Amino acid sequence: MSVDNSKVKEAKEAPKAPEEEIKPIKVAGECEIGTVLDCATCKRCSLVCPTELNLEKVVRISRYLKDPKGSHRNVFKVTSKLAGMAETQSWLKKGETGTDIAYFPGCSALFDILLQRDTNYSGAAEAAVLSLNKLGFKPEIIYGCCGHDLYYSGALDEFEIVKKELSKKLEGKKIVVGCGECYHMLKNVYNADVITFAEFVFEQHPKFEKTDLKTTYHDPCRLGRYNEIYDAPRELLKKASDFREMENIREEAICCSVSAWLNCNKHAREVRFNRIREAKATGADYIVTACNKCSIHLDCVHYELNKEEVKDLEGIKIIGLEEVVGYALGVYDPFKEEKSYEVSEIKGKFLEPITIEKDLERYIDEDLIEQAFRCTSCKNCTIVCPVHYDTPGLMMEVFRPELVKRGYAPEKHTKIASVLKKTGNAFGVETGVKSKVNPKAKYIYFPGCVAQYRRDDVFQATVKILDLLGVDYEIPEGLVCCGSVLKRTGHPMDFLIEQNMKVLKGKPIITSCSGCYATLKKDYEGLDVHHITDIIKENIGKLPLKEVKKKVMYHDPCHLGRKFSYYDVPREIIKAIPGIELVPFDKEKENAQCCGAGGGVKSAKPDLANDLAKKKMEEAKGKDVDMVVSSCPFCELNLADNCEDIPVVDILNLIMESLGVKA
Amino acid sequence: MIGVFICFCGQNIGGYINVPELTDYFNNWRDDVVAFNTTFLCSEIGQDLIKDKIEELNLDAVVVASCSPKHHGGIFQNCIGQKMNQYRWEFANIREQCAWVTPNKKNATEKAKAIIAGAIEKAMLMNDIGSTRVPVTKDVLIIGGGIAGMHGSLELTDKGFHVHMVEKKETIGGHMVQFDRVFPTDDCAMCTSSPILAEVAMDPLIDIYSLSEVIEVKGRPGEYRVTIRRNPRYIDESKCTACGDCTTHCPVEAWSEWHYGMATRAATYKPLAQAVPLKNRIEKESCIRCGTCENVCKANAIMYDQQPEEFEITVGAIMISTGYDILDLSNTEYHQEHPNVISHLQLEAIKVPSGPTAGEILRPSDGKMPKHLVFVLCAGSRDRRHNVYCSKVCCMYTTKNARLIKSEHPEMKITICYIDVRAAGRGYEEYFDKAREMGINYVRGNVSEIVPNGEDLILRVEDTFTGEPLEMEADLVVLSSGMIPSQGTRDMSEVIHVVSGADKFLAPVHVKIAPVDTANTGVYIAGTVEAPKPIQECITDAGLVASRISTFLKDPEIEIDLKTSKINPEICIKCGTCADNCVYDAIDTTGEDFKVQDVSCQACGKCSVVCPTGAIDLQLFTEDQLIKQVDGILAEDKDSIIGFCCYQCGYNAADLAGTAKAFIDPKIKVVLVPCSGRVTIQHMLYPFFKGAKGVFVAACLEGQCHYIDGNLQAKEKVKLAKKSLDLMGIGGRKLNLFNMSSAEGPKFVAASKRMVEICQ
Repeated sequence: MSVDNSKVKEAKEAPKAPEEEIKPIKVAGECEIGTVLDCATCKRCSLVCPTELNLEKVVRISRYLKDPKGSHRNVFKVTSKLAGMAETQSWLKKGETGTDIAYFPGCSALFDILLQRDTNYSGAAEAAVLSLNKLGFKPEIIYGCCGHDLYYSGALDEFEIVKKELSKKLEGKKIVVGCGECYHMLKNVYNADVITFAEFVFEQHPKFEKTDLKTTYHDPCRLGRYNEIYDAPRELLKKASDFREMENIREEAICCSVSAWLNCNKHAREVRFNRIREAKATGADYIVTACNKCSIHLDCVHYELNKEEVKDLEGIKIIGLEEVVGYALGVYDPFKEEKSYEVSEIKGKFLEPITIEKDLERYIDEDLIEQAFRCTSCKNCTIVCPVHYDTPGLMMEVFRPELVKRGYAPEKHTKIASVLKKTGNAFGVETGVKSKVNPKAKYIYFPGCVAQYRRDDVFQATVKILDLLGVDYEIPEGLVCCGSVLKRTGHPMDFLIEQNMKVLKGKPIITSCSGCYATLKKDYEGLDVHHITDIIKENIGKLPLKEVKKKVMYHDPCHLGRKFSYYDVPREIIKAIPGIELVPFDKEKENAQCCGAGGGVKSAKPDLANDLAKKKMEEAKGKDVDMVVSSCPFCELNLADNCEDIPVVDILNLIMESLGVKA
Repeated sequence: MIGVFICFCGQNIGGYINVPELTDYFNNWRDDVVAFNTTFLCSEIGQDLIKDKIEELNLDAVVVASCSPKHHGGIFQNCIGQKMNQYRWEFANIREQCAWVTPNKKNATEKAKAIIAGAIEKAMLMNDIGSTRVPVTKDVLIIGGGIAGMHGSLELTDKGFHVHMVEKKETIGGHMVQFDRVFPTDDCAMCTSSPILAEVAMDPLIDIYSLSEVIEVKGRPGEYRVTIRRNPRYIDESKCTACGDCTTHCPVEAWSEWHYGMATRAATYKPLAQAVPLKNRIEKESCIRCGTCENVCKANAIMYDQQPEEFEITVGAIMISTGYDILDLSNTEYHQEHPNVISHLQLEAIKVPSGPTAGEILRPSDGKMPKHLVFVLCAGSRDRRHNVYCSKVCCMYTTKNARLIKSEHPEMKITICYIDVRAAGRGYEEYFDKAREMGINYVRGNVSEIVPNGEDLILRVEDTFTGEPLEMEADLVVLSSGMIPSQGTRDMSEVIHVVSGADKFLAPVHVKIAPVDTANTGVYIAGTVEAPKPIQECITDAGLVASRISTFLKDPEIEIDLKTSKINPEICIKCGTCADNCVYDAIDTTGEDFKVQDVSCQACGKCSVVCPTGAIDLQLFTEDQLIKQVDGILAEDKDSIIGFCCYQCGYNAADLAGTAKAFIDPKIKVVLVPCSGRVTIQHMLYPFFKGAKGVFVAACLEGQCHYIDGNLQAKEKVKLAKKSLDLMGIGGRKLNLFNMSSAEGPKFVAASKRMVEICQ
């Protein structure tokens, strides 16, 4: 797996969070993690990932583990596997061939045959060859399968076979490729000498007849975000047609919804409907793509048009970029009914079955381990994902546990896990919990490791505020760490849940830590969990808040903010304090940037955690605030560690200050 | 843990397969598999072994390696159902499809290993199948009011059921009331049947719809919604008193269909005096609209503008007794178009006392009494050019007619040409002996040709006793023409989707042990709808159907196993492709999530094939189960040729090949599917990935799919898959579809041979 190393090296040096805000996307519901299907590997998440993770690789390897079945009854996964084992016959009907340059047409004929629709997706390949002819080139046509769908559906072993076979054919040739997927694979996985059809044609300065097509361009992920090819297709379309842009384009383009035939479901369907609606809003009659799969997936809507629900999507057609170019060059008629492929009956080859013992070790390398343990589980990716795929969930529940099981856990994580096993808390403090036994109490206060052993100020503030508010609570004996750190580093946490559940069952729980809050709420069953700010907000009238003349910024903890859309309560509390001026971070709420500590990054990759925190604090410094406020002791710990000038305090400490009580 | 139970079946399996070796093999196969064997697994001892081991080892599923599931499937399902969900098992058919078709014991044992391995893999994925209770309607539909229909209806009303009887003709009664006398007692047919007609007519629990047809059957067992089309009588039934004035005054004279053209009738008529309902009818084709009848009818019953009407009834069960017709042998070597070559039904029409000659035998061309009357047996029967089968009753009724005529006209020369006389039945042989004693001349020889000679005829026949070719002159020839399913019977196989054989007669679930049940629960067949048979067997059938129906409808609710398709709402994109493809309207698309209506779903699985996302799957034949089964087979023998065989046809044909002890190459491995329409392109292509040498689909004959168009869908898919195999360089010729009926064992053998040839 030589593909991504260069990028990773870069990422290791200096993590850069993107400057611009990427629009969050609304979807119907959350996707399932365990199926590893829902990610379309569109890489939109990479725009916002603070640690610049290569999430598509994580997804691929997770799929290797789980071997998910594809849509269309898995038939395309089977055909991709078969395609690597025999010799694809030449199927293009028209066009002059020679040896000027090579052209790779991809698998469109197979899709035309097997999708059982009356389509001619192969038209793009025919148009490409005819266009090349017109521009004076007679290409050698390399038939075969690039193996993209195997690669991205996790059939990595079979992909290696496909790759070996195809590599031989590609060697030493300059290859023009129309399909986005093929281009990405040939360029980045095969390291072949390739150029996109769009760029190649553009360089020839072709003379186009401007057609009367009203077009808009759908950026295929493989060309766009994967390879940053945005301009050539647009330039061609502008010359060849009446072109208009959609709302989400270039880096921010929304995916066609499905990749590697895996994740077609109602979320994906919604995504593609919205994409087509976006295209329709431009007034275009044609959505032009430069990827066979985008064509097919967007086109799917035309096969369910009898349904009321999608009536508004009628009337817009999907067409290949090559077809538009061919049309504008006067060599190809996109409206013809004749098919562009032709298959003759052949004797064929008997296949020897492939028997490869699955072995993840084959794909574990330094980069993969690095990728696995850089995620802070901030979930910024999920917010911009067209289907809200919970990539951190995949990381924590599928990917890291597998690596941990195989002994690839960072030393620090292993140490924490063993300490936790021994002492019940993440810091290895053996004094036990600061309990306050009161079996009759109405609430349980769950202080959490950080507040107890590292930020006593937060602990004290919580206790005092609870007392002030007259909350009847206890801190029962026998509480242990909530398990957040184990869960997020891929270690088993069942023993902690078991231990805590003995004590926690039955009473509402209050916690002042976002990590504990998220863990108790998501990973424990049947608990009634409240963040302390919720209690405070409800009773804010009871607190005699006095003026605090300070300019502050609020940092959204990921486990409270993005995970539960919990943005407003802390802000309202801060605003309730007289004299306070609340200044926003450039990116806040759902776009807020992570402090850098989560997901075990602070322990295993302290430099990374520090860099991210520093960046955040730099911004605060620039805005000349008196303090940064948050509602997660762990965030505060990391932010404070990385800035000496500005204090980082918990929202509870700020309240204490306003009350005139020293914690 | 999976338990594999291997049956010796005495020598039936034990003689061809090394069962102890097989047992050992699977005992050491994988940690989660245990194997046992016993002499007869279907015996009480065998069943106890299964039950004990399920309990003792806490088995998750069972594999029964024995005979075809069509044979004892029910027994094992029942047995396993006593200890766990009755669907947590899979069979491995190592008798019909392995032991009996593989002469070499070593090869057979190896093939059995692959079959069992496939079954184990599928069994691993078996899920519990639940059941539900649904209400049933106590009404019964009887289609066809012949002797079987009439007898069945009376049996059912005696048991308290309400019967709707649909009859295509203007009167019920069927063929029997057209006969003169019946063998072997020579009773007058009408004298025996007219009391039955009268009883049916008067029974308040029977609604008779004459001149009517069933055009659509929807719904489910216990609640079939039946659309009936009532064709116009052009006479108001409620007013007509059958006085016959219209007939007397009608100026038209047309050939009477009821008398097979042996008599004439007016345009308004009733076919016989005992007609039920006893109403006149105007036959539109012959009516000249002169208005005479309208003028003379005192009851004002004439209704020239009556239109066909359609209405729906709901019934719990259906009996089909739509009967037979006979071959029309006009323009063949039998020259039935010659006026003096008549069928036996035409002879009956002449012979009945109420007939055109008052029972006298006069030949049609000139009304003279024949001097030499020749009966031709097996006319169109046992003959590859017409019916390959024997019509069973011809020998006897021909002998009956010959005897009756001879006794009235001892002077008349009567010859019967026959291949061999089949007089099996109580008193039949004696009856036949008597005929010869009476001087009826039996010539053993199949008539090869009847040559018209003016008004007379010359018959060419070889007397196979003497070996001499004979040429005999006759002045009247009666053909004992072969029986064929009536048009109504053929229609029913389409309307109700009842499986029919190659002969187009409707097929019972099992010809011996379930002779009147069909594959459609709650639908039964009686009489000659199933095969040529004498009257007493029709009556036996009808009685049995009445009994089966009363058993089926005895409770207000019936239990239905939910072997249906299921939709996973998480993956379903609600595109509606499945619903469009379902001929049973079984997918409810109205709710928040799409749902399969359990009682309507017939479990063919066509929906799972077309679903783009894989959200819908047939529970007993899931996508993964079939793939795993293929995996299992190919892991044992990668050189296999996988045959997806439809339960309704190909699978049975494969069993029949076994019963006939034909040779089938051990490479051929059958994977059972409920319908060829269940096979996805993935199923067709995947085996190649695992090294399979070929794949075929055995589907029903076109037009005979139990689920209407499954085989046509399979044909389309095979076409595409072949093309893709060609494109990918693997070769589409290694994938084929063969159409065959459940009775065509030889076709399965031929298909297997062809596959082996192609895939070498």
